[in-house]
Amino acid sequence: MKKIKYNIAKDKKIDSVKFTIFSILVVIISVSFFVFGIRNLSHNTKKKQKEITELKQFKSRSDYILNKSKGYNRKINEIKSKWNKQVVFSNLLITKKSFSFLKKLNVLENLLPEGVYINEIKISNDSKSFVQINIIAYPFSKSIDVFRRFSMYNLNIKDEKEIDGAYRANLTLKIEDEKN
Amino acid sequence: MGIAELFLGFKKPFQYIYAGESHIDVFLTIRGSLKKTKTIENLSILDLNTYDFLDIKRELLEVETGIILNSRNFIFNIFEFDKLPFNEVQRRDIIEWRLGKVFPENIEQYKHSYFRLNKKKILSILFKESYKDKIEKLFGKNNISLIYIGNSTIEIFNNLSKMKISPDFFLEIDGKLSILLFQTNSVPFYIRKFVIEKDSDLLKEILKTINFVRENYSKEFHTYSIVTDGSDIDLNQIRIELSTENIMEINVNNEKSLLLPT
Repeated sequence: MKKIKYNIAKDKKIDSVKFTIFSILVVIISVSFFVFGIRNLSHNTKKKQKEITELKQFKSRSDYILNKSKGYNRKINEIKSKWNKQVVFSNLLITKKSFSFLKKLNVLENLLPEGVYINEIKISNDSKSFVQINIIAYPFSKSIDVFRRFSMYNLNIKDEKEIDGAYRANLTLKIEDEKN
Repeated sequence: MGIAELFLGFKKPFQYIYAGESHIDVFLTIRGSLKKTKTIENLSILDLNTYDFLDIKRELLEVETGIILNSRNFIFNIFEFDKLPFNEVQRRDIIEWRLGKVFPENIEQYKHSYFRLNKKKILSILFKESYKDKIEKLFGKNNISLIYIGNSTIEIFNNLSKMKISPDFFLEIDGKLSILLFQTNSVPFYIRKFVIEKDSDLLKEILKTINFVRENYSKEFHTYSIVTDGSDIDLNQIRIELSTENIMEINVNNEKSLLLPT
């Protein structure tokens, strides 16, 4: 039902009782909202504070784990480096154990053709397995034969020269040791 | 109408004067309820001068007072709009433009009030400014604070709408003046005001109006109420005739001052 509020008096007055009740209601509602807001805000702050505390706890735990992890990594690295040194040393020992002058000399003997001579030889006894030889070949064609035969051993040719019909050159070869 | 008036309503006066066709009733608040304390016959509020008013003043207390005028000098219109502007100024303009189409006089000479009845319907009420000024001056000169000027038909409508079962229409009778207000779900849709020459004309006018509303608004009526103040007309014939039309009366206690705001 819609009441028709018809009053055309010049001095009409608003119902003060209703107005007071209405105003009190508005004030009560406003205060309720304010209090509710403040309580909610303080509740939120408490909640936030709790979360911050929890986060700090998590962070300190995480920092502790991180530090511990760094310690473990350091230890692992130390052990790794120690082991690496031992591995290197072991490899050296293996290399030394498997190193064979005879093998390298056998290769040279078997491959050098007739008419080609070695007048200097250097053999390194490390893992690089380099063999350096100075050869003298008669005639020049023999030297070509040498290059072809040793081409499988990473042949490197230097200081090629011909003196009095003899062909001279410095050859570097890589003759691997046999693996045991 | 301000927001406070819209939501909170007006302050109710302690005493009321009902200005009828040819009598004036005085109502006072006694033990929380309004009681008629005096009826002064053969007086019309608009014909009163300061001297005549003394008869009424004698019965009044020096407190805030209200006057309820019968509908003789009010003009009611119900308008239907497809859409009404939200803006108050625009809304008033469109209602007054519509009013201007059916009302031949200068609206500026009238106090024009309008009320939204539902989404589409507007009730427009006109009352001559000069009458309003006259009444206010009369009370002012007699140092009576007049805080309420209302209309009896509107007050009856408000009071009947509060009832559990509200009638489909009501008849307000005050002497030779009668008003019929038809409503659906407490929304008025037709108001007719008429003055009869002789008592027998009342029933004819009522039936004529009922038939008119039936035909033009496609409505059927089942219930009605009669509110009278100071009428000597025999209503039994009306009651019998309406009961033959299967329209039943909802009895209202006229002692309860349905003419006054509650």
